[in-house]
Amino acid sequence: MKRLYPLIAALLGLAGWTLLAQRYEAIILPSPNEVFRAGHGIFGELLVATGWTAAAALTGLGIGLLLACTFAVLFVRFRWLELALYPYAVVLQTLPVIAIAPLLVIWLGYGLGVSCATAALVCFFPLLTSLHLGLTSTPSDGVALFQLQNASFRDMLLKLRIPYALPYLFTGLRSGVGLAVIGAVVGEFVGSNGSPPSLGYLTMRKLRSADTAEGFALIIASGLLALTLFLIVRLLERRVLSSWHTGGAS
Amino acid sequence: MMLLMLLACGSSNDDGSTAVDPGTELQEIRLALNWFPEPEFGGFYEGALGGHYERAGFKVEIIPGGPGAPTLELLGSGKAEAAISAADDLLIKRSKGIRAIGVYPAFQNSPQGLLAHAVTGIETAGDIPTGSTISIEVGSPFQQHLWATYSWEGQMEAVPYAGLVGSFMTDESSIQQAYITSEPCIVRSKGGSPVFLEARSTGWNPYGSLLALPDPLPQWAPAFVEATHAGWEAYLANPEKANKAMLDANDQLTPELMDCIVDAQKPFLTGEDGLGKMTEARWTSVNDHLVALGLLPEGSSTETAWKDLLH
Repeated sequence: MKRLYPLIAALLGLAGWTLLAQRYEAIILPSPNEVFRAGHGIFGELLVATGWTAAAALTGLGIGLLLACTFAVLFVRFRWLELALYPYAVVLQTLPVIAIAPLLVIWLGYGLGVSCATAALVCFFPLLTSLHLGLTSTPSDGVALFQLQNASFRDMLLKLRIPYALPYLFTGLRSGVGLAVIGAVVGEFVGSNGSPPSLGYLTMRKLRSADTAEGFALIIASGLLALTLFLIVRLLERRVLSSWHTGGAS
Repeated sequence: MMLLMLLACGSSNDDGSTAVDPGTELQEIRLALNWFPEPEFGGFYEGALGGHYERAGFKVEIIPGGPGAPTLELLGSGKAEAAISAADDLLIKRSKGIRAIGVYPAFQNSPQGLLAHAVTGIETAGDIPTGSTISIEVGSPFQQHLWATYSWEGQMEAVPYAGLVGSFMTDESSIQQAYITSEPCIVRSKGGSPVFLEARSTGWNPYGSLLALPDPLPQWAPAFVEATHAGWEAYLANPEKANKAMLDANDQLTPELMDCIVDAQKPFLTGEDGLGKMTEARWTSVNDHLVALGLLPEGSSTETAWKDLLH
């Protein structure tokens, strides 16, 4: 029965939306039915755009993850570096991506580069904080045992800190993957001229042309893309952690 | 589907432009547009498709833009050799250090304006009732000009314009900014009856879709401007080929919308002075407006900001 709860919530949400849509013109709030038909009408276009946005979001996530791993390890190894740079990592998180995007166009030109960069920017900080917390949350008796054996930093990192940090990494990835999609779409609003076509670009064009139902369909596609990527991360998390770490079982 | 357009097809059209010897290596030019491929750039597409650029020795790559496209910055940073802007934008950016010169205006009269519903009876900006809410790019030179000219400070409310005509369509008292090349035709295609209040009628008339080249002007500048002019002349005579290319490159255009825009923009392209003309008086007028609005420093002049390479 509990598995039906999300379905019931979705049906109630759709019913509420349908009722609300009757009070407005389609150009302001199209009904679910109109959005479905509009989405069906541009399905091919929507699929291609989703592919490009997914590519940008995943590339951005990859870049963000690589940078977050590098800095998290460096922060654990060199405390002075953490003290020097961590405040700036916080500042990076507060930068309004929508305001930076036009600058990225000047630096990188139009296209995937901008949306990859905005995706990397927004997911970097949550990944860094999760990883840093994970790498520094190793049980002290484990650290003491490694120190007793004169283990090198590398051994302690690979055999102790990283395994313990994995649940934290996946927590960061769970929020990071959704943020990467948002970052990519925001980047596409400003940094895409339609080549390649993407969800952000198409949504903006459809809404500007007053094709609101199609715009809604594209927004829903963005949400579904984020949800799909989130579920993939969850699946990976279960696979990796169930065989390696007790935390994955929950 | 939009693609970077690499357009340099040969053609037997005789446009009178300077021809280069066959076999001569073509000069590669990246032309950055400040909007998506639409008829406001028709002459540039025709220049490439009709072979006008190629015959003058250029291989032109047209880079479509979008909202807030930083074309002059792309020109200044060497990511484009030619850029489309507007006269007011060019003067402001020059004052900030961007080295660009206006060389060819596609639009004699500014395509900017305000949009109201015909049913309101509004015919000029002065007819807009006090207390109206106007959806406009807040802080833009045009908005500041309107508020200063009509003393609208405290009388009208300016709200940000997100580029969506939805709220305009559903509220007959709505007023919003518009470009003759966009919103009026979109609103008509959705069944609305808008009235377009030209920016020119409010005293604001910077050249639009202005071709800008690097400062100092490269040697190839005169030939490029000549080929551009030939492209626009050919486009006005027969826009079919370029329109088809733009329809292919812009998935949001429909043939009906394209026809509406082509018709609507025609008088704005040629104006009173004729296609491609620039006058000292007009540039000075734009400059003086911007100085009065505090957007340019006192004593600014347009002497080196533009150059007529055609006449």
